[in-house]
Amino acid sequence: MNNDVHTLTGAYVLDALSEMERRAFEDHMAGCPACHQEVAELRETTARLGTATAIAPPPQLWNKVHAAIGNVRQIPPLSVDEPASLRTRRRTSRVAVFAAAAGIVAAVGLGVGWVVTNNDLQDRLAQSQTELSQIQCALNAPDAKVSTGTVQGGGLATAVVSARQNCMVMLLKDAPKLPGTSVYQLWYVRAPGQQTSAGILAASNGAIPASDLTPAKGAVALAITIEPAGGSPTPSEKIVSTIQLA
Amino acid sequence: MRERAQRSREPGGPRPATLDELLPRVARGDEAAFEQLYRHLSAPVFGLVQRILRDPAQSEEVAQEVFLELWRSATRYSPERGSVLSWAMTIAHRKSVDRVRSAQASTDRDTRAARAENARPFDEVTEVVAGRMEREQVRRCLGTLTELQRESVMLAYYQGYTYREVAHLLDSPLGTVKTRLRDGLIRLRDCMGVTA
Repeated sequence: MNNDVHTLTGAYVLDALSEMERRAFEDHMAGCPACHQEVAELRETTARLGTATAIAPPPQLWNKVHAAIGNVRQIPPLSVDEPASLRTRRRTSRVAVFAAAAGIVAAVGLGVGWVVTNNDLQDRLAQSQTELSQIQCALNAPDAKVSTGTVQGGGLATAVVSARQNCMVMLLKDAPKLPGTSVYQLWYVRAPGQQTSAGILAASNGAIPASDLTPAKGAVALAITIEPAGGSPTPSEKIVSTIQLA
Repeated sequence: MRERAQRSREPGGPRPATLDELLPRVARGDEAAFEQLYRHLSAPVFGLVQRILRDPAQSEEVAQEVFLELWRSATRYSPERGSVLSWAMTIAHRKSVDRVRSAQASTDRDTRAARAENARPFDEVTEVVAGRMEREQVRRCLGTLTELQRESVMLAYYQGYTYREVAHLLDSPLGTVKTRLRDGLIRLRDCMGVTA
């Protein structure tokens, strides 16, 4: 866990980060179960700060709300057999959406995603640009090295690593459908039993970018496992793909 | 309904069971359940929105947006990610802050400085509130924070400032403010006995 990023949990739940920082933190959180837990707890805490300000709204507010919901369709729930990406986190689905748009991989589930705010589309575009720049970092690097590995049960994992640009992207294509809310988690492997999480992807197609290779130092391979929603601190399941780094 | 609300008004557990019961019904499009949900959440949501925005007309507008969002996305609420109350208050805070920031984007530095000067004293927030046990607990727990932690948390949460703005107002390094925000919230969490 990157301690510096991790200290942002407080500012994150207080909505005190800039857009870019917020996205960077959400990217970090996607591979950090401890951050998830802390964010959930701190949100319960700030909710109490919020309820302490309780004050009765003007009576006409209900009339307006009531009239308005008559014109607002509820977004559909996530059905059980949709890719897990859509039920876990915006980031992962955004990665998938972006990757398809960028023409790098044929991502499934294009156009389906979390609809959270009115600004969501704008949000997603900006996010996509962040992801795009992260992926381009590796793809455009003059020293980019491409390594591949097959995925157990079908599919291909491709890693593009640039030491000079200090970034990497792992692209997953046509991997087996994930059970339930599980995710694919990518690991930097230094030696057997010595892994550091490199991010998660909750879809069979998509990308995991890394904009800093510091945690990859000394890694000889990348490994992919299937983990419960949010990822695991250490690999809990068997490895479904290994990419040897030259 | 009134009885239920009162019975569950115990310290540490403001009506959780009731909201938990209502939410799945709201997700199925039950407008009567939504009205009950509104009765439970309207005061906390409106209070927070108005606390941040001040302007009554804007507060009403944003509170309405919050409830429409709760209605719209009730289908996607997942108890694993937190309580209904926390979900609702997160949306309320976010929407209020979005409103502050979008207004802010169109103002210049001078206006922003003027706004900072108009900020109410830090402990005034606890004076305007309506709430009983929760308010007492919040007041008591805020009292366990160091002054700098308390100031940082309150400026960020109740004024909707970014941590950079908080750092500027308190004339402190960014890293210090980041740490204070987190440490302050952790201390509050422990004081309130919050679990997730």
